[in-house]
Amino acid sequence: MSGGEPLLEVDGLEVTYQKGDLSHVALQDMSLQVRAGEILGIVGESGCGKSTLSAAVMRLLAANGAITAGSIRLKGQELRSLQPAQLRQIRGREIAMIFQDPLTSLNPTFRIGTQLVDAQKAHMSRRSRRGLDRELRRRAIDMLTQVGIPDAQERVDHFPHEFSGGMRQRIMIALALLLEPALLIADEPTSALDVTLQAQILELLSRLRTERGTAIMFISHDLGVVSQLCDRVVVMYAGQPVEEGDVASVFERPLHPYTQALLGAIPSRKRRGAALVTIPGRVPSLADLPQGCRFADRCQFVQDVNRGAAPRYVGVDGRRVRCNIYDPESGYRPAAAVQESIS
Amino acid sequence: MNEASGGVLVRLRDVRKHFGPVRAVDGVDLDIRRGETLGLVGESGSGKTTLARAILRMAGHTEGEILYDGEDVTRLGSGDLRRLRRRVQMVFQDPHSSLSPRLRVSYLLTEPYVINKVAPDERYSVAELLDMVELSAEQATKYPHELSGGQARRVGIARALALRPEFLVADEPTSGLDVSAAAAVLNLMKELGEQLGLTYLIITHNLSVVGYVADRIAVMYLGTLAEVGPAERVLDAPGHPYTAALLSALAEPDPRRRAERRLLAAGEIPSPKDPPPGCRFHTRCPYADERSRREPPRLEEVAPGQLVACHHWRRLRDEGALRLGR
Repeated sequence: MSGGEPLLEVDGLEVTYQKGDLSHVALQDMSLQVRAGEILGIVGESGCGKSTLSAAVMRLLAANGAITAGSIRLKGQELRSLQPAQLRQIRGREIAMIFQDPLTSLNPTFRIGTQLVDAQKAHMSRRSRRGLDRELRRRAIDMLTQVGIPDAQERVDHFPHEFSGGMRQRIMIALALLLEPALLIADEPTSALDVTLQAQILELLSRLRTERGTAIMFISHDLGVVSQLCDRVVVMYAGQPVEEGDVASVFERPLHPYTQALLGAIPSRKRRGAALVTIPGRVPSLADLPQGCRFADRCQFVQDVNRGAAPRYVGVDGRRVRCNIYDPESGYRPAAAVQESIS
Repeated sequence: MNEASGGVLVRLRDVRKHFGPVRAVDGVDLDIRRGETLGLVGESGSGKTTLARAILRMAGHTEGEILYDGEDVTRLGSGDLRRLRRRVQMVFQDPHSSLSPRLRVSYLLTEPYVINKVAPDERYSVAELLDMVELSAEQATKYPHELSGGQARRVGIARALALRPEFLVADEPTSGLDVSAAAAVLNLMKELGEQLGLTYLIITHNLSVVGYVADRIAVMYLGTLAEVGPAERVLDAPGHPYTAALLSALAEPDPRRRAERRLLAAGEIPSPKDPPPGCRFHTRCPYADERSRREPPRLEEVAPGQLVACHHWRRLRDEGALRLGR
């Protein structure tokens, strides 16, 4: 699945929110690639900018937010400069999105069949959609069956409230896939679901990727879920990516001290009897970001150099990490203890 | 339950709580032992929160027997109930909705003393309470909305500890918290438990949390207990297909487990208004047969202290059907 042309390329992206006279940079130096057919996980705690990233890619930022630097290219085409009409062609057809709460995305007053048919029509010219209702409805039923809605033939005429949370999420996925987008952005799609349903939805997403080659950008706070579903992962902290690599290496040998702490903080039965790793302090406020490394105040390996220039996002063994410890030119002097802990 | 009853703090026998047609809790037998941490696990609609509230008599009229330290909770008069509630405290799921937004932390922490007319020499000071939950003294003057999720959760715990309870019921103590804040809360609960000799009932849908903190685990499904036993038994050798399904669905941060994941529970939890006859799990269980559809299974002891409500536990155990690929 890897090694292909990048489908989505985000480069040096910066997003700024305006709050009165103040501006807060919510996303900075954001760079990533999603390759065709790949599942890329974006993980981070609240406020790290992961949802701002998905909103920026979809060009759905809140009114007070704007892309202030960088580029977002889909199949080589720059999305930043697109006009609304062009954007509508991209959304749905090229990039589709599913959210944590499907109820906010489904219209409660229409039968789901109607919504699934309308979504297809919206991307057709007036002429080509003529006389297609029966065909579009059949495709909707097919898609519902594929995402695991039982009795789709009958259920297609039901309203959103007549479905359970897990079923609604399946309907959202069906809706997103009807136009066969190359990229699906999933923002915490299983966070509101029980664990057995969550496992079912993850299974479904994984199957869709295998069968249709749909690339997925999977945004989550749940490292467990990411480790089970994704091929590669980007770890975000305070508006920046801090580590990126294939899932197996990042989870087995995390490089960034933040990733290390995050993984050590997850309770599991293997950690019984031992204290969980905690990270002192809080995520810095966007209004008051520290100089240099944004994690410096909470990092056990901090040295003076980390409070100077911002750390670079450097390549290490086919991965990337934003940490001076791994940058031979940063002036960081790895002490024996650090060496031990990171190797 | 063969354990010596001297150690039992809470004894539940055939506890039932129906809300109209909804059979939220439908015949639960369970003991909670003094000093232990019992994890009560279940998905939404399993009845786990209702069961916990029944122990505190916060669920209205409940059928069955609920003995707290030998006393029948369902029959306590209001004075005795107030005494009970000093010994048993609840840490609520969402601290921002359980802490009044108009009151400062210092007041929220001392309010239980006013309500319960606690003598001054039996009170902890605000500073002591904050210190117990590892918050700085400056937090005393703050309002709940000025606290982070983790801090608010700690205030909730401190408030629960103010009356020096012996038994703490925590409903989803880490839900909604970021990973690092959740870890700090779990560490804190563990430390306090040891320091103060608390008994915990931890209600959660999160098996990782329970795997980390619980001495024993009880698994609920649609108002009934599917399995209960020592944590290591339930996690390593689950006896009920539902427990195995939950464990198999658990997403642990270990990419190597990916190939071993199996999906054992199909479909969704049915409505508690109209629970399936026989074994409640039969509609989703790959091992269900005619008997499962007809006859409700009873809890049977399958290993020391491990009880399972499944007709087929012996066969499944002998075939190794529920063994997780770990």
